[in-house]
Amino acid sequence: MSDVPVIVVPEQIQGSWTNLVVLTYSAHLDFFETHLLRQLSRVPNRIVLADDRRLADQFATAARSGQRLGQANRTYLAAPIRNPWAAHAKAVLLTTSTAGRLLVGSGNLGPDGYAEPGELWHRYTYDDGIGEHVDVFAAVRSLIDGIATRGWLDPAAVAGLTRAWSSTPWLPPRPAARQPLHHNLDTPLIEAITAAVDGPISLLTVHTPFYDEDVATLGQLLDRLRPERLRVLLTPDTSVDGERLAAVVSRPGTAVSLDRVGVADAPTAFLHAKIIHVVGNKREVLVTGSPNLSRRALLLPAATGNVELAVIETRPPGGFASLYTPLTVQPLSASESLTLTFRGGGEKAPTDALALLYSELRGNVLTLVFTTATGPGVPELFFPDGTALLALTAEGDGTVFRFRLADTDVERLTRGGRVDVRAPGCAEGAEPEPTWPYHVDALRGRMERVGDNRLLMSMGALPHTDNDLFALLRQLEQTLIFDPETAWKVAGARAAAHAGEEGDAERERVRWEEIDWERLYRHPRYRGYQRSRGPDGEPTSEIELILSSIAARLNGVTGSPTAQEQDDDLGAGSEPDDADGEKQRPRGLSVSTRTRMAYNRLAVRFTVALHDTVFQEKLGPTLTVRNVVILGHILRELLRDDVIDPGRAITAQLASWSFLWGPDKLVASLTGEERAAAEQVLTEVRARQTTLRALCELTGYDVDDELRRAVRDQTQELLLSPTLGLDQRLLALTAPDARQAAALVANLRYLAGDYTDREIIEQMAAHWGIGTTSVAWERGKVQRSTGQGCPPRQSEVEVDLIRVQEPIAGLTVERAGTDLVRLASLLIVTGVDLDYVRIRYAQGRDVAYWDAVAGEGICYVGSDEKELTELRPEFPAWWQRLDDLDGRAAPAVARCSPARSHQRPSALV
Amino acid sequence: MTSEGETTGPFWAARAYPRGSGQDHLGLGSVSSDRLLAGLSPGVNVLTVHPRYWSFYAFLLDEFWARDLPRSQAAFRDFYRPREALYSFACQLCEQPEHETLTSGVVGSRRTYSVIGQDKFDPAFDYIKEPLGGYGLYYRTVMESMGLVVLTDPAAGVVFDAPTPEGRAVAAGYRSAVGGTRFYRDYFATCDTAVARDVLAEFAAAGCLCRLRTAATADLPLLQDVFLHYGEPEEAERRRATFRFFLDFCRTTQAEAVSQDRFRQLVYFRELDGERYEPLPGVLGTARRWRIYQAREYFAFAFNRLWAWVTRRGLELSDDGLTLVPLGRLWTVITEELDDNDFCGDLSDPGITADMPGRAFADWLTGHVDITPGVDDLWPRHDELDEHTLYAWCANDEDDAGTLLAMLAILLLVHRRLCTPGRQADLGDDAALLAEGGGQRIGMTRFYELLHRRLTANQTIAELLQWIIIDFVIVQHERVATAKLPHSGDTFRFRRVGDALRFFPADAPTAFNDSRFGALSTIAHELGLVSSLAWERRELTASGLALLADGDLPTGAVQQAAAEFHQESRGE
Repeated sequence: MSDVPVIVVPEQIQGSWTNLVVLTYSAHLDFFETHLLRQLSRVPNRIVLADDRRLADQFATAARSGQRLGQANRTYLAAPIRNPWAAHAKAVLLTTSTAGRLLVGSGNLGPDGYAEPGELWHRYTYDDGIGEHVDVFAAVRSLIDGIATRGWLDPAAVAGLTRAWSSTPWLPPRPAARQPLHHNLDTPLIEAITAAVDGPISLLTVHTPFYDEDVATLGQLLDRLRPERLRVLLTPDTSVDGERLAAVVSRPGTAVSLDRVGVADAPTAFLHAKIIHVVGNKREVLVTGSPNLSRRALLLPAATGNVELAVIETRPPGGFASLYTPLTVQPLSASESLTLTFRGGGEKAPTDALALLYSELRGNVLTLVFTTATGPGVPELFFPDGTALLALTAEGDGTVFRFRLADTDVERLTRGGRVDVRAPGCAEGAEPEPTWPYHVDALRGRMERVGDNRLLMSMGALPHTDNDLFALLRQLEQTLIFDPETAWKVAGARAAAHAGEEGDAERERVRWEEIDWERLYRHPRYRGYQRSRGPDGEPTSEIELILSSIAARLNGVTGSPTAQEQDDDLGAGSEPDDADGEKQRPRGLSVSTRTRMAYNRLAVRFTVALHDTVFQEKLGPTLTVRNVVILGHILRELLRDDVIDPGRAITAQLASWSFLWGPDKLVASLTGEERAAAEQVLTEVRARQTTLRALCELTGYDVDDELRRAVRDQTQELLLSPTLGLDQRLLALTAPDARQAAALVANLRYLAGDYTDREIIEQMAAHWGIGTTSVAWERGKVQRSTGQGCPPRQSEVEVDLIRVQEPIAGLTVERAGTDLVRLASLLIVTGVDLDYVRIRYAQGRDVAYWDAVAGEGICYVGSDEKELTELRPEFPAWWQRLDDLDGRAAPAVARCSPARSHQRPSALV
Repeated sequence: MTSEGETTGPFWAARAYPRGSGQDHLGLGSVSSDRLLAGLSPGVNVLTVHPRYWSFYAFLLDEFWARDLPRSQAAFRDFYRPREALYSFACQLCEQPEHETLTSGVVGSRRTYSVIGQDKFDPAFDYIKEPLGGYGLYYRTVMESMGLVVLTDPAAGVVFDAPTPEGRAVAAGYRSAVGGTRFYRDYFATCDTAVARDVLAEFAAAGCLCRLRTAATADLPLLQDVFLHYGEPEEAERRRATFRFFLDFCRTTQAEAVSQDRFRQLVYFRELDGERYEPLPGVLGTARRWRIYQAREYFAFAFNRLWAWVTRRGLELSDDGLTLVPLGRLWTVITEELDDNDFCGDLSDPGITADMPGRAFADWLTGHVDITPGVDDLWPRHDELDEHTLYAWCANDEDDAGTLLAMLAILLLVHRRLCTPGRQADLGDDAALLAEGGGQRIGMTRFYELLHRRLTANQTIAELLQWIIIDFVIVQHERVATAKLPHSGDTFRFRRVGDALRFFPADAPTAFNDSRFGALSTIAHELGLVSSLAWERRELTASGLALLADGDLPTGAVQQAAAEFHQESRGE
């Protein structure tokens, strides 16, 4: 059995697709919601088309047993196929604008059909670059379109399908060449089977779980194929009348064996696969898929029979030999064949009874559509808890009713779940009929995400709605590995499960140090960081997708869906623009607390992770560079849109800049190919320019003292960082316009020189080597030249001066002069208008001052005196770097400068 | 088999989820444990049995933070494990008289017991798998809920679990009890050498779990204060009320120990062994809520027992899962067996068959079981038909018609006692407890609304059972097992396939959920409120009597002891 290929169906139904269309007979929606939807969260258009009666049963059971199915018809369509008999086709179609995956088989949507042995499947893939199997996909589309054309689908389903095809331009409406998929919309399947067979048949093997009551279909098949040998595979669960079967297969010229079949590895598995295997001399034909050996499946077209989808494949002799390998096949005893019974088999006759066909919610209007005219009056509507819905207006023609609902009821409805409807004239005490309204706006809003991974792709600019913002965060969590928590999710779950063996209570606890790094390195998410562009230059991983989006954003491309993409949504303009009932979020306006808190947590986690050097080393430079670029960009956008607490975001930004550009930090530590690879990423997304711009944008925030100091220190460090390399070229790249460049430099000056009066005291105290409590600013009166008249007049004016209350060891007039230089430099750096500086020392009448207006000063220490005619400030290196950038010569002498107040410069122009 | 290659198929489908055994197959346990019991005894769960662990763990955390160690889980684990291992040994070496009532709940004892005969005890002994032992497994979260520790939260600046000032006060109380022991003086700091038996025995005499009752000058008053007053005020009030209730009812039936089984009966009927329990007026509300809890337990048991019935009988009918069982066949079997039942035993048979109207069956039941007393009254027992008798009769693997009828009878009796509209009105605000579970986990309110409609519609016993089995056993099981697929694997015992059921061979255990009686009674005893409930002739201590009489004990011990640590944390 080792060479028999198997498929785990749920593993096939995941990924970043745009559309999912499921064809199924029965639909286990609880399984779909709790399992498959989790792995289809990024698929905006999700459609389940199921047999109408089976789906109604499912909904009725859910209603009876209190099952909410809160996503049904809200985030995905669960729509009935209303053909007269069973809608029995089974397929799973996943598409994007360039690719597709198709499963065709025997399993229905549910744990039995998708998660258990006993089903047979075919799988086809399509890729624009290759183009293989396009006709197979087209065959499925033609089946679905045919169902829609016949009016067997609700309008909401038709709209969903239209959106699917619109966003799958490579998928033609019908096949252009022969291919193995066949449906029975127009022609009974037996015709296609017969046509595929050529020449005498040596062996016909059949297995289906359901037969006609009279076994007539098998009889017809035998009539047409006339095999030399017939092998009927049966299980104890096969729904067939044993005696009639024996009678039908007993015919001259055909040797018959009735065999008992089972799944070798799973004896209790229900063998639900359908097999018609025709072995001829020249070739073999295998029919699999949905059809049983029943009249409505094989002998009739869909108008009078079921809707079926079969794979009819032809191979050379022996081509299907491995098909039976996983099965146990042994002769059936005569007594066993007699116990086989016909149990019906899902073929229920159509009914004309009054029923609620479907309901739709558009804006505030709930529409109910009935099969036939109801009695006089208007239906009553209830929530599951029995609360009546408040209809502000109600109108109807007996078949279609429209209710304009109160906002509160609409708000409740948009959270999903059912509405109970009591039709007018129904019997007293009769149970209301449940309906899960199609949330037309919400479903259409989801489809606005068309453009594969729209959120990630559009990350250059943040989404416009709160829900999308939140969804973006989740997608980032699912894409990036940036902290121990995300690493743990990739590589720690198994360890966590083991840890919980002695008690569930602590299962959720995370032990970072026990992350299985080898497992992480093997994980696709990790490898996604390392993939390069595809041959056409297109991103091949989600990380590249994000980086590409950021680069586009910085190149002036918005990153929002293109006009073409918007046109893909056929309903655009005809419906409200709400997504999931949520109003568009104007920039800078309300964001839910949930989203804000979630992004705050992200910022904190990112900050903590950046400080965890061991963890970052484990991640390696490929990941860390990309993480810093991506999350740094996001933080900047979040700050701009006021979606995040500025304190947390700025803290994270500072940590990321320090991590990236700091001395001996990430970029500086890289050499050779690693450095080149990192530089490539940094260049593509303009990380240096972004850093400078984001840094300058911090001038717009009032932050606490500690953070303000951190911003100042970080700015000073960045100005001198060799790896950031701020020079004229980078300045020009960041701010091509001269005014922009000047504003940028001004902003940097402001941030780097942001010292408070208190901090100036601290600087001076440190300079003198005394405690800060011994130094203070105070107001004092001094005689100063007014600067007017000739000769200038002296007058008493109030000035700010520094008083030193502790003797300075070794104070001389020269030292006092140096003190003045230092103080003046600090004041200039902080942007204070340098008018007059004065230091009053503790001992005697020791004093030093510089009057910038008069251009003179003096130092008195003890009995020594020194007149000053100039004061040459000594500026820090970062200041000089800025002077170099804006071409401004440092003032040789601290004179009265043009007024510069300690105010924030204007933002970048 | 190999995974598929690049071909298009055909592929046989493989199992997506491994088989798993699972538990709580209808998902009803969480209503009791997470909702009802969480409201009745917040901060105490089934496995947090000994209050002195609150002291011991606070003490270990405090000692850890007093040392210059990295604040990481790894560092704490290295500090913690040898000390808890030795504590596990010590608690088994304790020779004090109080130890007689300590019968279980020593963390790590399953492994440490096997080597308890040694003369020396290795602190590196691998006493438990969980890295943070009993603290990590059981006590950490409840200590946090009572405000003794803050849990790791890097975003909030808490790099690792730390004791609060109140936790430090409790730790200091414990330290004052054990500070003079040789173990603390000579071994505790390094904890890297084997410790002699007599050293640990001496330590146990001061610090064993059982010795809390005697620690009146150490941590006992602090823990009494914590359990009666700490955590959210509303939660503390409810916890206090439950302890008072325990002190109240345990004075009944003094000739017997109170076991969990007897506790359930006392709580529900207030009559046992011919003795009556009449709650003190101040305890009545709490007693009513515990009664509702136990009603929920009988209610949930009925569904779980029907689930086990369907599982085992389905396996029989399906040849151990080899064939499908049409639902119609299951109903036929049920109907046939109902028509041939011996449910009545020695009682006169009113003609109980599948076709008997459910309402008539309920009337017959209540003709025997007196359900006329109100929601706060004593409910007279019935030797053959009351809820507990029926439960005990069916707490086995015997899957016959009698079991089906007994479970239906339990549901009907609970209905008439507590869940008719009139009785719900009598319950006042407590009626909200009946709604717990809602639509997802079979809330009693919703179920009995639906049942009432069916009884009014004169549905038969067979129809009622079919409805219950389909909507509240089969669908409920499918829903719960579906939800468990990714975490617990495939725990389905049966599943609908079209109009049939497919069965999967596996066990089908059924039992009540733990009522926390063991933890609550042990805590009441070890907090020095009452003698052991596991013994006869229970006596309340002075503190216990005061709590019973006044509804509370003086508070302030923790606040006073924590004052200095609050000052420390403020940097004063």
